[in-house]
Amino acid sequence: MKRFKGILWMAIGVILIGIFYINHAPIVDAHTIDLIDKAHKINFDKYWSGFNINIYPVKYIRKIY
Amino acid sequence: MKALIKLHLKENIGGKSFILFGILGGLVTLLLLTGGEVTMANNPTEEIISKFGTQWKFLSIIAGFASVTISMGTIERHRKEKRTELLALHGLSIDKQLFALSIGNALVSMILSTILALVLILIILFGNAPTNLIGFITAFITYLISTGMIALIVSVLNMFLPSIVVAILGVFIVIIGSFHQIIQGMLLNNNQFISYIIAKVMNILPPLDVFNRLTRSLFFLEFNCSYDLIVFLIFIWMTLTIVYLTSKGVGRYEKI
Repeated sequence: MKRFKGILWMAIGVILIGIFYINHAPIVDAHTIDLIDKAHKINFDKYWSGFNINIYPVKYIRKIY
Repeated sequence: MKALIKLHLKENIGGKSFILFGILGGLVTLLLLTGGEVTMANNPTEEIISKFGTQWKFLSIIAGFASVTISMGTIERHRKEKRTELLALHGLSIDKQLFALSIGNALVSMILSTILALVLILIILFGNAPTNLIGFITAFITYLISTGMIALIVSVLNMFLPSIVVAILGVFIVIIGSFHQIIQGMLLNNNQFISYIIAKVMNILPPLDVFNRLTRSLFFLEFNCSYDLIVFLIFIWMTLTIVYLTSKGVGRYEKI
């Protein structure tokens, strides 16, 4: 029984980490989408050379109100 | 093991720190709800969302500090007492004692964070917050678990480090964790190899801002961040596993 519990616990961890790698792109809310849209219009290279705006992969889902 | 957790709860609940944190939480809530509005130019966020969002953020940071203060010295103190030997002689091995104390610390800090959020709960109950019962309860559970997780990490550190060092490290974890993504973004954009390595090492620290974002999205009924939920679950799993394994390891080398 004790060994079974241990195996179950490890399996939960492996499944969670597996889902993490499959489901990598985060889905963001409407406020963040607006912020990202605005950030794309700013010329970052002028002030911060080499700045990578798409550092976090983001999946866009527009919410219909 | 359950008896030790109960004893630990009995010893820690009802102290002066609880009343102090209750008053502090109430003051922060009232201050933020009456005048604390964080909005940016050209990005008009709804007033109520801004107010409650800031509220959750501040409360989780204070609750993090509170849980560090509560659980920083408990394990070290317990190991110096004669009670450890007595309990071991009565059949509760040291690794189980340490595990029970860590869980007890997490429960105490969860109760403390509930007291911190008491005024907010009253305002949500009697005011018009943009949420419903399920949204509020799920948000509140994630808020409590993230506080408990800090207590668990501090307990693990306290198993082999003195309490002062643990307190400093705990505060460091809370501060870095609360601004985890901002700091990581800055480091990754630095174009230096060492920054890249530091940013990757930062993944070990709990991203409290991600947990807080999850809390806020659940509270405002805007849950669409499954990524945050997975990160949250992975960190719960990882923290519990680390606590279990560390207490086993420390218990094995302890001499009675």
